[in-house]
Amino acid sequence: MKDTFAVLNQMVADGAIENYALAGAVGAMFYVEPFATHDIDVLVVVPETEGELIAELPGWKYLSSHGYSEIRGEGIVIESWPVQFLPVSNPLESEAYLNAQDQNLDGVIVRVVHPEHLVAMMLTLGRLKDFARIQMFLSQDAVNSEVLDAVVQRHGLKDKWNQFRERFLS
Amino acid sequence: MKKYPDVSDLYERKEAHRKNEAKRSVSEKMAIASKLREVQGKLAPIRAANKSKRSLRKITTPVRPDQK
Repeated sequence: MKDTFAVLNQMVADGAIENYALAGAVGAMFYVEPFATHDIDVLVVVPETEGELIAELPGWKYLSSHGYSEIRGEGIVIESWPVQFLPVSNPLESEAYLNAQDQNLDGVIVRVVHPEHLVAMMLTLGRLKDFARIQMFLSQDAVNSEVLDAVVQRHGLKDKWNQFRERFLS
Repeated sequence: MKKYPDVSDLYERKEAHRKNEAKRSVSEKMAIASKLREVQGKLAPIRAANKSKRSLRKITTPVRPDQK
């Protein structure tokens, strides 16, 4: 997997993408025990196209010209892992992308979304599996509650957060 | 106000793909689990360091000026 991130870092160095922020199940693995997943989700910024569908997978031109032309699901296979480039699509994801932190995976830098943002993003999605994952973050003390409260407050998720707490933590 | 792209279609396709992935054979799923287990081992010390930082409250997520 570190080879996959080395390619992503090279994409940034070559200007193919402004940057990336690892999210999803693999991002969560930097903070809690793993979830089942087949792919790597990374947030990327695409040029402003309000209300328009993304015409082309971000990074596709660069990757296909470097020999990575296999598509699996919605992802482009990079060093045997399908990578899904998810355009930042709301203020919460934007903040998560901007504040992502560098982590060192076997000598390769990986830019990973903070756990508090991952939890807030799961809260936004609100599927049962997201709630289960949030519980994992909380039970494994993987989030700072003050930081999480601030993120929840800032992005208007207080009601959802209270509902989650009433349903699963009381 | 910042404009964002509409990614609803992308997420719908992603969800559909996830359902297809569930139909993989057990041996394929085991191979994926094995791959994840390798990564899991390498991430263990990183996870421990992250947990420690958070418990010591050394973490803040500043809001950048362009996000205010």
